Amino acid sequence: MHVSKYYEDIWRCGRCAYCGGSWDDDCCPSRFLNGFQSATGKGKMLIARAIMSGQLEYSSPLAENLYKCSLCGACEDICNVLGKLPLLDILHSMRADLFEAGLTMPRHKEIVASCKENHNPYLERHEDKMRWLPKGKVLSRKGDVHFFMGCTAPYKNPELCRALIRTTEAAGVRVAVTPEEWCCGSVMLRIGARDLAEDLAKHNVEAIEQSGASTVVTHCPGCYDTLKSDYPRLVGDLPFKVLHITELMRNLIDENKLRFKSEVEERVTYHDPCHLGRFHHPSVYDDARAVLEAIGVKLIEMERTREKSWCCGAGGGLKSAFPNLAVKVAKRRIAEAEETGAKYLVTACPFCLRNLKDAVEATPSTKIEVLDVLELASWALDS
Amino acid sequence: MHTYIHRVLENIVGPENITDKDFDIEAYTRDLGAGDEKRASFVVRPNTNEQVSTIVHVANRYRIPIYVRGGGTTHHGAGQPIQGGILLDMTRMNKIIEIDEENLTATVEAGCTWYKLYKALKEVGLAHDPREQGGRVGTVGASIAKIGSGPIGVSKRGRLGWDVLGLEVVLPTGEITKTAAVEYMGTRPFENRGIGPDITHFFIGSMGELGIFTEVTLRVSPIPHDDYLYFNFTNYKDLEKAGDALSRPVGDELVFTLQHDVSAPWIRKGGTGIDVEAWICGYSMEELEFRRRKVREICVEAGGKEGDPDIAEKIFHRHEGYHWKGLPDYFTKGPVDYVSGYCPLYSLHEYYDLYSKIVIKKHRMEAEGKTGFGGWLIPRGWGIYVEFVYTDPEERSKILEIGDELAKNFCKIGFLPEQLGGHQGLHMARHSIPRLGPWYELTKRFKRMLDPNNILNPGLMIR
Repeated sequence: MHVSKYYEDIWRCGRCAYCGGSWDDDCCPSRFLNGFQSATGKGKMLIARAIMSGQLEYSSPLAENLYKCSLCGACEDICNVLGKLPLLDILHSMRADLFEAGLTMPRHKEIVASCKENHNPYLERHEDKMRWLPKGKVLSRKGDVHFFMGCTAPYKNPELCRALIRTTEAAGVRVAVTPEEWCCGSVMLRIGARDLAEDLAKHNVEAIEQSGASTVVTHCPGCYDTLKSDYPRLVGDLPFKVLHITELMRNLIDENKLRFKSEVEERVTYHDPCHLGRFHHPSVYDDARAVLEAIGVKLIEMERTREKSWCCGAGGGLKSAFPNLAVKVAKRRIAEAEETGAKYLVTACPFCLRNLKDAVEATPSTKIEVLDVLELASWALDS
Repeated sequence: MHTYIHRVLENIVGPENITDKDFDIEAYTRDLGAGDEKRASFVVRPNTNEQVSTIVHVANRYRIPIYVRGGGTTHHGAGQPIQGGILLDMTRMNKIIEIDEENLTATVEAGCTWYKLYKALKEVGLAHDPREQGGRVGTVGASIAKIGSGPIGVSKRGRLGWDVLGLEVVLPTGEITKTAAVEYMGTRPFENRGIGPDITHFFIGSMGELGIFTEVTLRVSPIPHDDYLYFNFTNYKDLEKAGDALSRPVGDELVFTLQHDVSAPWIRKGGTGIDVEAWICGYSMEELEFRRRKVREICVEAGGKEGDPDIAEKIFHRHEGYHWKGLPDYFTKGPVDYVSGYCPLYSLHEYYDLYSKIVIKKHRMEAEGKTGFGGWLIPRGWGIYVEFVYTDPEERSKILEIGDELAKNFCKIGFLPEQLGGHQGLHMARHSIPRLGPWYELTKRFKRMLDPNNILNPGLMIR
C-alpha cells in the first residue's frame, strides 16, 4: 500500500487534535463538512494506522470520507509547529490506495477517463482547448516565456486566458503556447491516479521543451504547484523555471514594464489560493497583493489570510465529486469577505474563482462580486 | 438490536450526527495517552441538553453504557469507551451563552473550548484563568469534569473547578438539573456557594460518572498586568523552600503560575538543573512590581539563579505563549504519556528521587531522550508530571510498564493522583483505589444512588 511508506510518521502522530481546529477558529473544511473526528488529520492518522495494522479495510464509505476533503493543507500548516507530520503526503497516499482499489468516487472515474482520452478533466474535446484565442490572433509556439494554460481557464473561463495575454503583451512580453499541452495532472494526483499523472507530466515537459522556454508561467495555482513541486518528483529536474502569473506581473511592475493607465479605486479583498500559499515555501502571498497595490485598489484584508486562509473548497476533487459541499465551504469564505465591506473579492485562481462565484450565485443576498486579479488588471489597462 | 438503537439515536440527533461506521469509530479510539484502543458502538454528537437527556433515557432503557468526550486530549483514557456503547462527542455543544461583564461571569456550553472562551473574553477585556495547556482543543466541560490542572494560574488559584459557580447537569437517569439554587430563582449564579451543601462541587471531578455537564458558569476576571521571570535551581529541596514562601500568603499567593521541570533534552529550555518559570500578575503596576520583587527575592534566597525571563514569557505569554500556539515542537518525537498528580509542599524532592531511581537510573530513559519530570506550584503543594515520549506501537507496552512501576511507588508515599480513570486499571487507578478506603466506598454509594443502571462512564473511575 502507498500509505505504508509513511508508517513511522503515522504512528508518530501525538493526537493533539489541533489539526482539526478548535470549534471557534475552525480551519479544516473537512471537519466543517463532517463534524466527526474522522474528518480531521488526527482522525485520519488513526484510520491509517488501523489500515496498516489490518484492523480496518479501505471501503466505499471510507473512500467517501477521505474524498470529502479539499486537500487545502490547513492541517499540515498547523502540524508544522507541532508534530511536523507530512499530512498532505499521507492523505495523497491514501487516495492512491483508494484509486488502485477502484474505490474512487464515480465522478472521479469519469474525470480520469476524460484525462486519458481528451487530456483534460472537463470531458471536453482536446481540440477545443485553444478556442479561447480570439479569431485572427496568433501566438508563437516558441519563446522564452511559455504560458501553460491549464484546463479550467481555457475551457471554463476563457476570458482569463485572454486577459493574461493582454497583460503580458502590455508589458512587452510575448508568451508562447502550445496546443499540445495536456492537463498538468494535478487533478490526477489529488484523486490518486499517480501513473496517469506521471504520463501527463512527461508529455508536458517534452511539449514545453520544444518551445525553448526558460520560464513557464501559469495562471492556475494547481498547475503551478504541480509543475513546480510534483513534476521534479515525477520526471526529475525541470529545464525551465515555473512562475505564477502574479509573480511575473510583480516582476514586470518592479521593472516598470507593466504600467496601468489608471487606478481602480475600489475596495477589494483578496483570497489566497491554497496552492499558492500553504503548498509552497516560500509561499506566493505578496505578489498578488503587490499587483493589487499597483492597480490602485483599496485592499481590505479578511480576518483570515495567507496561511490561515479558509479554503474556497474547490480543491482536492471536492468540487467535482461533491459540488454542493464545495459551495458550502465557499459560502463561508464569501461571508468572511463580505465582513470587510469590500465591493470585490479578488483571487488569483480559476478554480477558486469558479467555486466562489457559485457560492455567490447560491446566496441571493450576497452583494460582493468575485473577480480574478487578471480581470482587474485588464480594467486598469483599459482605463 | 444495534440497527434499532441506531435508528432511535438518529431520531434524536439527526442522521448526520450519529455514526457506527468502523472508520468513524476508529477515529475516537485513542486520546493522547498510551492506553489501548477502545471502540464505541456509536458516536453521537448532541446539540442540546434535551438531546443529551433523551439519549440518557434511551441508554437506561436498553442498558447501554455512555461515555462522554470533549476534545479527546486527556493523557489518561478519560472519555474512552471501555465497554462499547455510546460515545457522546460534546464538541457540538460549544456555544458561549452569556458573558456578564457586571457580575464577572461567563456561561458556556460544556463543549466550548477554552480557546473560544478566551477569545470572547478578551474582546471585552476579561480573562478566565486557570486553564489547561491543551486549551485550544480541550473543552471547558471536560476539564471541569476531571479537575484539570493547568498549569495556567494554578499556583495562585489551585486546580480547575474552584471558580465554577454553577453547572447544568444531565443526571444518569436523564433528568436535567442546575446545581446552583439561585438559577431556579431566575438568576445566573454569581457566587460560588449555594444554599446548604455545595452540589456544584459534588459533581466537579466526577469524570462524568455522576452526570453529564451540559452548561458551565464560571467566574471570570479583568485582564491583569503580567510579568515573567526565570530561575534555575540545582535541587528540589531548595525549590520546595521557594514554593513555601511564595504560597505562604494564603489567598494572595505571589505567583500566578510557577512551573518547574527537568525536561528531556528535546524540550530543555534553560540548561542543566531545574528550569523554573514564573508568571506574575497584578491589577496595578505597583502590585505587579511588588510581586516581581518578592518572587525574585524569595527564589534567589532559596538558591535559584535568575536567568533570561524570555524563557518564561515565551511559554506563558497571555496571548502569544507556547500554550496557545499549540505546544510547538512538543509532539515532534511522538505521542506523550504521563504519570501525574499532586504532592504536599515539602515532599517534591522525594518524588523526583523516585523518578530518578526508577526512570533514569533503572530504565535509563533520559539517556534515550524519552522522559521528563516537572510540574507546578499549587497552593501549599505541587503538581507533578512524569512524561514519556514513545513510539507507537513498538514502545507503548514498555511505557505502560514503567509508568505502572512509577505510579506504584509514588502511591506508596502518598501521591494524590490526578485522575482515577483510564488505562484500564494501570497507572493511577490500580495503585490508588485499594488505598482509598471509605472515601471510595462512599463515592460508590453515590454512584449507585444516582446511576442505578450504571450507564454513565462505567468502569472509568468507579469499579
